[in-house]
Amino acid sequence: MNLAREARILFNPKRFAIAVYLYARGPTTMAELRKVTGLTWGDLDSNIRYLEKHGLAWTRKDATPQGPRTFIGLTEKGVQAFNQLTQYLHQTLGRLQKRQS
Amino acid sequence: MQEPTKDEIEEMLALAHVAKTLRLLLDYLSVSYAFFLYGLSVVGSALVSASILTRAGLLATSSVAVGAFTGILLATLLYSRVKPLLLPEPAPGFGKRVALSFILPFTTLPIVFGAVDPDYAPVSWFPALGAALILSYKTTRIQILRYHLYAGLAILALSPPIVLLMDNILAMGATALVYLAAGTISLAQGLKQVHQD
Repeated sequence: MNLAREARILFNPKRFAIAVYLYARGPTTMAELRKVTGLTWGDLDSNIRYLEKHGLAWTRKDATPQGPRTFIGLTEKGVQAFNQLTQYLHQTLGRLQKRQS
Repeated sequence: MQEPTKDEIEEMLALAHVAKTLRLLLDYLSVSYAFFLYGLSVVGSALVSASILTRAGLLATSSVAVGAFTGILLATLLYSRVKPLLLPEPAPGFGKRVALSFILPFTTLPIVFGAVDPDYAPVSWFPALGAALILSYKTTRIQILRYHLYAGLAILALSPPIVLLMDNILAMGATALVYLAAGTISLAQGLKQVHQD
């Protein structure tokens, strides 16, 4: 199975961590994402920008009762890329297990 | 691209599995909540209209309305308590805004318009609820509530002509059917989206 370019973008520990949380949680704030992934602001910002540049994530500044917040979410393309990557990982794992046995 | 090791893949798959399970659970909660609100809308609409149309009086109307809001408030409270158990932060202002957008038309419009002319109460009330649904859509980040918009638009478009064209009893039944149809379409769309994801 050939991995699409978008799925390959998520095949990176930091971006995968971001994608996992956004996939499960839905749109969330930068602060929350930083807390759960343990990434630095710089790392988080550059990876979010990278995902956004390739159409896998979106960001939006919004007013909340706690003050202005930046929200981040996965786009439809991002969700598809995540699903494709997990499918690819399942197949690769199967191949590795077959090779070992 | 370098092939990852077995351990790395297993770790990534375990994380992905947790993410997929949580997403499904949250979607299920959102759909259940939406379904509960639609259910209350149907029951509430029939009861409030009935009490106004039979001129049972302000007290009966208010008690039915208060009962319906209590249910909505309890659902909102339950939702806002359950969701943070799964994930740290609830969507900003979600519960309060949805509850308010329902409470206002529920409490004020049937009574105000009912006092002016009871026959026009349902006509004014159902589109108002549609508008409230649209309002709740605009003030939340929960994806599933996008389908409230479709339901709200369907109610806005269909309720007034139905209520105007039919006898009152039939109108109530037809309006309840509109709610059910709109709710069902909305839920079907929501579930379709969940499965596509």
